[in-house]
Amino acid sequence: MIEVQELRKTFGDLTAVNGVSFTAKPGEIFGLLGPNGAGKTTTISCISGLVTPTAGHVRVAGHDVVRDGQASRKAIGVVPQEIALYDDISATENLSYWGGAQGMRNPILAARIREVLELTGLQDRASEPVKRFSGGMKRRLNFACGIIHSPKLLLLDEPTVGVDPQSRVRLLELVRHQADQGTCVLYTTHYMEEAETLCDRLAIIDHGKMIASGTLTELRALLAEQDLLRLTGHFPTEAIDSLRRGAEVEILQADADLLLLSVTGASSKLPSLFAALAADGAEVRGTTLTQPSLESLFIKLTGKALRE
Amino acid sequence: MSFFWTAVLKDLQRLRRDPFSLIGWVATPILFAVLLNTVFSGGQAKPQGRLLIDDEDATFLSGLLASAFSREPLSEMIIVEKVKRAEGRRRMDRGDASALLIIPAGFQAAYLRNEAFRLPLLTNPSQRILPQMIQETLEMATEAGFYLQQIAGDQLRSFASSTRPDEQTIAKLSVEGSRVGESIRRYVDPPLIQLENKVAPVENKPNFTAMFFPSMLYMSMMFVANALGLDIWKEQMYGTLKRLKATPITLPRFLIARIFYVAAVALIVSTGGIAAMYAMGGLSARLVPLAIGWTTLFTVCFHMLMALVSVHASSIRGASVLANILIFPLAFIGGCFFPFEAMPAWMVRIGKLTPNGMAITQFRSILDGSATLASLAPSAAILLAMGIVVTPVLLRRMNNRFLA
Repeated sequence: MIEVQELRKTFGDLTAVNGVSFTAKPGEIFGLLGPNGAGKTTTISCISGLVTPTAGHVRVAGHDVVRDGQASRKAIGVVPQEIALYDDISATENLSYWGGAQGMRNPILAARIREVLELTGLQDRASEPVKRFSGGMKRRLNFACGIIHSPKLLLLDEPTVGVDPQSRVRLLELVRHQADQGTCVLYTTHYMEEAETLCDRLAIIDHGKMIASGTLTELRALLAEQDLLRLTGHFPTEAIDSLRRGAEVEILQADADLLLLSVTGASSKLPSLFAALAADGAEVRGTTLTQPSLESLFIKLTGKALRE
Repeated sequence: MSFFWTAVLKDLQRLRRDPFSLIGWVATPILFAVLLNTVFSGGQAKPQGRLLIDDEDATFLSGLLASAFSREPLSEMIIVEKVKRAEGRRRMDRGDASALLIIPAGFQAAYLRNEAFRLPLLTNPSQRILPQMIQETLEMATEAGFYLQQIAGDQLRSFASSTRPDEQTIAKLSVEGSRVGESIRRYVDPPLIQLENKVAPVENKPNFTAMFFPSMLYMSMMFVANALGLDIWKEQMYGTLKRLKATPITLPRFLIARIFYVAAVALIVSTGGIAAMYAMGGLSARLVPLAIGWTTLFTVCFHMLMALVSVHASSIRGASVLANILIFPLAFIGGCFFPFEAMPAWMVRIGKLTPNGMAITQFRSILDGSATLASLAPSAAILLAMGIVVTPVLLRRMNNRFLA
């Protein structure tokens, strides 16, 4: 359904996306996970035709997005990060416009509008101006406008940012429903939990580069059940060197005031680890132990937390 | 229904939900027109004052003096009322009159004997023009009396000495009067300047509403065009422009749909305005479609210009300021604030070169029935050329500014 090969996008000196490649098939939810500014939105923009890639290829439903943009855009539904609706007209009127923009005509359009309104739970407020809607309702309508033409590929750019928990659950259900209907979903987020619960496959992006990809199981395997241990305090060079010589821990990051370690069965090894550090003149003031997760994988791969 | 109509319908629905924006665009110039009409055509009434005269002399000459104020055009402005001195003073104290003239007893006798005499005139200090006019009229009358005294003093004195002139005296006075007349005839007859009194043909006074209405209509259309031009910024702020780019709809198709919408709004507004003109009798029915079509064409083309101006700003507020910087001078010089008839010639020459000045000139020619399709064609071509030239620049700018 979608093939992205060596996608690259530069804005002047800034390389926003650098060699990103992945594929996703119908009915699959593919997650692009990364911190703000990682290049997720630029990747989505290249796929949707909003920006032209500097290099690489993107094919959607067999159509190249640059050479055959018109055909590829017919197959794509976009749910932008910011709500993009006319808030002075009704939900029905918005859906009618966006359906019309996708080439839909009545009576098929009218029937689909009813279907989508029901799906998103907005049928009772369908004729009200959107400006009277709550934030969650607007998010759902924003989503509805993206799926009005039953796209083969649905691009969702952080659709749950700023959404209350109840609406978030509803939106995630809607995304899953679309995938169950056979739509290929490309979902960007920086929420680990969302990615873990929703996505069938994931790619982790940072600084425009894809640093890992695969199913959740495959990505967890990269951590090999290792815990992530974050120590703050004072760590002289001798203490760090001494740790390096030992085989029990893997040092991910070592500074004078911070140590980031990957340790198998960290809880049982903490007393001996603290004793060894103290013997080399180190002083531990704070400890954070993280179980294996996407978050810890991200930290392991990039040396920083996802929300930093 | 094609995307054009879907998009036009969407924008009309937006307008229907917020009709006050449209009313605002149109109401401001109309309010301006109504105010101008009130100020200029409501001034039919002339100032009117009251002159109180206490004629204590009650003679032929005092009556003659009093009647000087009852002649036109002064009589249209001054009501002469005879009063007694005490009452006159009281009313003056109340500010009830413009002036009080007292003609004391002995006025005629003193005049005929060519003796100095005082005529007290009290004026109302709270009024300026009418007391001044009364005073000047009185001065003219006394001056005329002085010269009459110089020319025919003897005759007047002999007239005064006889209490009841007999037939012989009257005949003698007539002969004397005739001789005096003959002696001054060479100075006054024939007059050095031959005056020819012609009564001007009665013209239809220009109705200020009819005079200003085309200007106001075109000012409204300029505001409409400007507001619709700014709508592109609203699309940008809503995020809908970017979203649209992710659909198969291209930017030129979107812009064409916008033009359809602008034309629809222009048609609605101009139909309303021109129907009002028709109702006021300022336009014949057969010219109504042409007037509406012309106004719509102008609005659409001017909208393109304003849209181009707005997309060069860095924000919607900046776009609004930039548009106003352009639109008000254009409206002023292009005959939308004041008709060209009320402007200096040099300004008219420049104003008629502006898009709105050119359009309004042709619109007036439609109103007076002198326009033909051939006479409108050059201006229409210029307006269309403006719209066509602006379009690719606008598209490129929109693409670079909002969608890059």
